[in-house]
Amino acid sequence: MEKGGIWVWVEHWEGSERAVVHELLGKARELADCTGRQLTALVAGSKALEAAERIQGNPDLVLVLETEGHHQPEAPPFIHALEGLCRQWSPFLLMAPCTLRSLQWMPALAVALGRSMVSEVTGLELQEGEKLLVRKPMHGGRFLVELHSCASPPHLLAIRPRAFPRKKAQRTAQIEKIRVEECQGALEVLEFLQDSGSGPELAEAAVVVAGGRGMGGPESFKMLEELAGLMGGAVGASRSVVDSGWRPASQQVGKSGKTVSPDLYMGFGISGAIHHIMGMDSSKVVVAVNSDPNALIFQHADYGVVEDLHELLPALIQELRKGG
Amino acid sequence: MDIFVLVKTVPEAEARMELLAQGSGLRVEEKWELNFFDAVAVEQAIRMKETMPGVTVTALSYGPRSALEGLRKAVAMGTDRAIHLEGPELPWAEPMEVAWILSQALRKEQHDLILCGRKATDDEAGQVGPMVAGFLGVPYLGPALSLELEKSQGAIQVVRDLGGARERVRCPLPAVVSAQKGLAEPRVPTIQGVMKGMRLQPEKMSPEAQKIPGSGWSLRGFLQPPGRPPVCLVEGQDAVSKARELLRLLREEAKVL
Ligand SMILES: Cc1cc2nc3c(=O)[nH]c(=O)nc-3n(C[C@H](O)[C@H](O)[C@H](O)COP(=O)(O)OP(=O)(O)OC[C@H]3O[C@@H](n4cnc5c(N)ncnc54)[C@H](O)[C@@H]3O)c2cc1C
Ligand SMILES: Nc1ncnc2c1ncn2[C@@H]1O[C@H](COP(=O)(O)O)[C@@H](O)[C@H]1O
Repeated sequence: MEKGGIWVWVEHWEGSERAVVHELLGKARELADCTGRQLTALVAGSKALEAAERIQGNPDLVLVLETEGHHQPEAPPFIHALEGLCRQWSPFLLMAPCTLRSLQWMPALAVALGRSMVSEVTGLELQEGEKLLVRKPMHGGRFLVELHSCASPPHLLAIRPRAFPRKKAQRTAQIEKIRVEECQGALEVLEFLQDSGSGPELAEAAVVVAGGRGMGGPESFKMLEELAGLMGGAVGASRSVVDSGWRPASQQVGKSGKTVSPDLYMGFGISGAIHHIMGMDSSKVVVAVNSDPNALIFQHADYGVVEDLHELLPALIQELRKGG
Repeated sequence: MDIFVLVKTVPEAEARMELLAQGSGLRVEEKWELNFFDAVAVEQAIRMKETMPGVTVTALSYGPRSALEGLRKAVAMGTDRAIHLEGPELPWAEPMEVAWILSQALRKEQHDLILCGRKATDDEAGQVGPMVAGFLGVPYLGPALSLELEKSQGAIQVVRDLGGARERVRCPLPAVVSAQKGLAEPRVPTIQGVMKGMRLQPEKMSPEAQKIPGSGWSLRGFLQPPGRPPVCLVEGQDAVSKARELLRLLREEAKVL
């Protein structure tokens, strides 16, 4: 089967693909269909086949990269192989989710191929059939910059989670295995530490419930966890909360933390400092709960509740439990 | 041991910014700061200098005159040298081009360890560090939550943040390491430091005129995302009625539940 065309890198861990992969595949399908190109998904590493089977709906072809040894998907043999495949098949476009993982390898691939890349992409259009127009946020989302592709393919893009809707499709793509050469990178992995945590990844969640210093202490976050659980969301926090050790650093939303763009963001006891706003302003609907009617966050919210969060949170949980 | 820190000057979060006509560029108020993650990198470098003999820390920045502001801060915090690679004022620069220019300058200097930030808060690219490593042909480790130099001083160990997981990795020097929040809390410079920063006459270098490899994107322009309408305050007698009303609005009006 023709292997050029549009490629999507399937980021997964032990066979569980990231939610954002489905968003990329949906967008890639649309691009493939309107240009008559093939859509190929690339899956590598330990338990790649499990992930491959779950994403079969959208692509025309799934390439599973395998090695003799047991490696993570972003290990040197795969990235080395990816470079070779790009040279061999000259894809038009290679898309990967923009995550801390892909920012490990895509810039290196860009240097190796002599093709620059765009990261944190939130908008992507084809123009005149062959040119790409991409959009990405700058200055904490205060502006978007628009860029035109002006070099020959492959175009390398790292796409921000929740930039495109998830789309289901009914195809059953062919799965093809490729054996790749082992190779040694300069890095030696000494220890792997999986962070504990349940529920969706913060940057990928459709609902984010975030707490600030107004929560009063780490105990009140149990209520936020419960609320997140009821809404299928993830818990976020302000920097003050993280710096006080109430929540792990991985939950910080803002300029020096993560950027989230859920359908619904709810901020409890967060004042709305610009540094925090930079991390959540692209959310579709924003709810602010603050006892101070003059809190800045109300200027960045669709719905505001002026109330003591220690009263409102239990009431919300109660109502949602009732299913009412 | 020679440590280089790549530092970028960026607009403060509070700086006023507006679109130029037809979105051709941005007008940015002259309020500058050292990029947050670069301040973390500078702090890490200075701590290494303070705990080991024979360490020299150099801050290196590419950009227009405003680049001096970040360099001043780095010097105020305690770096020994500051190098300004003079460049044009651009509303957007291709990260690969910046990385190429920085790597060409680094080639001319003895370096064992290169530190940088996880991302610049203006262009939000997160590419320059790994690309500098790529051009220099040295390993890239990051975003680092901790960094230790092995006793031999020939290798480092880094705990890197993979988002949902962390990994302890080791590699020989030279290497490029990017700083994640939490690596080191940037210090507040002393008065003497601030004075030193103010008097700074940075070493100047001209970027290589040579065309960088594979520049691939051209700037079309800028857009401003639409603002939010004024907030709708949820009314109610007490917390319970406000909670009910909020959920009703989220279901029926906003349709997000
Ligand atoms: C370089 C830099 C980077 C930064 N990066 C980030 C970042 O990434 N993320 C971030 O969040 N911040 C960041 N900050 C910090 C930011 O400027 C603010 O200091 C921080 O966001 C404030 O956190 P907060 O809203 O939780 O606390 P506060 O500002 O203390 O606000 C607490 C709020 O809770 C309300 N409140 C109190 N009690 C109650 C109650 N019982 N019920 C309801 N409401 C109540 C108060 O009215 C108040 O509005 C950064 C700062 C700098 C300088
Ligand atoms: N013009 C520059 N001069 C020096 N260092 C830079 C420059 N641009 C980026 N960097 C470094 O590269 C990191 C990542 O930048 P970016 O890829 O633009 O997000 C920054 O945190 C800096 O450490």
